[in-house]
Amino acid sequence: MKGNQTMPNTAIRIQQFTKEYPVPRQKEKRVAVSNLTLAVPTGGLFGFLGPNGAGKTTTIKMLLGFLPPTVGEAWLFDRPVGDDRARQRVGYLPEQPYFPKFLSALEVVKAHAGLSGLAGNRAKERIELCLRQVNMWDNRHMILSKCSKGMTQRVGLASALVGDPDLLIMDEPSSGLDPLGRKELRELLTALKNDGKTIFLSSHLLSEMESVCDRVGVMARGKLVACGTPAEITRAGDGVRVQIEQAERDEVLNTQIADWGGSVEAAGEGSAYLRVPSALVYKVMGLLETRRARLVAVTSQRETLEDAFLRLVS
Amino acid sequence: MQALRNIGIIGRITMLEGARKQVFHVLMLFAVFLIFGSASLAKFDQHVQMKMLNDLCLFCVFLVSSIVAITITVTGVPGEMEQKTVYPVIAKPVARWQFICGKYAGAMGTVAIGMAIMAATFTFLQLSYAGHLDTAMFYVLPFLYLETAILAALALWLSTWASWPLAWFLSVLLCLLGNLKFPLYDSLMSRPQSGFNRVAITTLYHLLPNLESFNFKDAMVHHLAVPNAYLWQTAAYGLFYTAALLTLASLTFARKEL
Ligand SMILES: Nc1ncnc2c1ncn2[C@@H]1O[C@H](COP(=O)(O)OP(=O)(O)OP(=O)(O)O)[C@@H](O)[C@H]1O
Ligand SMILES: [Mg+2]
Repeated sequence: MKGNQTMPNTAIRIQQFTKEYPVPRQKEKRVAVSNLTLAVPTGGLFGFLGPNGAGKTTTIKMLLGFLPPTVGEAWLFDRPVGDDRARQRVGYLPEQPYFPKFLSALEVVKAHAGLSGLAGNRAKERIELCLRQVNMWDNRHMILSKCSKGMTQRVGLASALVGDPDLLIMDEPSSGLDPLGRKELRELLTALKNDGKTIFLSSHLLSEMESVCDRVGVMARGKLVACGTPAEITRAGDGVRVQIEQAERDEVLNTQIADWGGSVEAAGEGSAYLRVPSALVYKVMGLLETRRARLVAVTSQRETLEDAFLRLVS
Repeated sequence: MQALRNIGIIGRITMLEGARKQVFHVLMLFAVFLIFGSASLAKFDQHVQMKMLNDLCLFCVFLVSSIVAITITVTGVPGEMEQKTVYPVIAKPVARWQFICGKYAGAMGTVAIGMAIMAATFTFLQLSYAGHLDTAMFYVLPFLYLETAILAALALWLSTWASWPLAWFLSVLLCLLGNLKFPLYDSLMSRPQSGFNRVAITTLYHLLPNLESFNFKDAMVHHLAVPNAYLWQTAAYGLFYTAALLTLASLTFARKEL
């Protein structure tokens, strides 16, 4: 069946999603997501970033049909999200995966294999493969109430993967995992991506996401404030950072730099950092010479994803 | 086809989960003790003793299965939402009604396990006291099961819109009213009532499940014959009532924000 389906080239298409939650005893509603339009192409890893309360989980819940949007529509592989079959090719890892407490890891993953439409030997193979992928095969008979948080997270990951979905939607997948687990998760995500799967994950662990994301969308207060490749979002080094040493604080130099639109940041011990537009770098050199400041280093300034994130959401 | 499979899978995990809970084990232990206890109470001559044994045992079976059925279903769906276990399941291509039916099937599976345990105890007692089985058991117990099926469906529907303590209370209340509806109706209607009240009482009377009619305990205890047609009619009524309640529960749950 799967082979015959032609693959649409957008995995997720969201049009003007808005979600308002009623606030008890108040007339005004709390807007969790406002007018969000977004398209996620098939293949690659899309990082859905945003601070706490930005509306990431709410968006994901609307995508999976848990919540109806107040306004707007969305499609998963060109099927409207209101249709239960839209989730046929989707694997989902909730923010905090919880499973029935008295079941074993194997029973849970088996149930999810069945719900994904797998049966017989194919189901058996997938169950074993996925439990091994998340390092839970040896603990497969463990009852979930006795599992640690990270182990539950791994079981959740295995049940999301077991149906061999084309699109994985994950809400904070690395929460609860130790550094080793996170590294394994990154490797797993990269392997899945190389397999042609589309991954849509929400996170606020930016330094981690920077290395694996192909595209990112940044949410703040319910609005999409930026969307594109990490290179497009981080401000290209429009400026340079000049490290200098000077005998004493030089007001003339500082005023001139400020006039040129730069800034001076004292770093103690007579050293300071100047941030100036890169076009003015030679002018600054001349100024340094006349003001008798010693040049230590000139570095081009490129924002990390974290810097960009902080700039965008503030 | 996949729909039935989904219901089966959800039912299976619900049943496993239910049967592994300590509350269930305690209730079962309680039921077995209750049945044995009632047997030791029944110390009269052979004839009266058998009647009393049957009467008390069947009442225990009814009481414990109703409590199990109501408690499991009423906490099932709200518990899944509170503990967020519902999300991984409905993120699969599973329709909301399939989830509801699966939860229901699982709860009824747990009730069936419980009833089987109680029926085994009951059979053991009958064999050891009377030396033979009363064949009336073979229709009395299934109809008791059908009665708990209605109760469970009722509890499930209530739990899709009320908090579980409220749903539990309402289920127990409706269980009592459903069992007492004939005498209650007669006593209310024999008093002078306004026209509006009469209509309201009659409507309520017809809406309430007629649980009394599933109770063949007296027929068994007093060895009365029950016509087959009546049994079929009662069974059809029970199934129809259950289906209607499950439809209602699915409709409410489908519109719920999770
Ligand atoms: N069920 C609800 N009822 C009312 N308000 C809600 C509900 N769920 C979320 N909100 C509100 O909607 C906003 C967005 O919440 P959401 O859970 O989508 O944030 P998030 O981006 O996932 O945050 P986090 O990174 O902390 O998980 C928040 O202000 C939150 O208080
Ligand atoms: Mg969240």
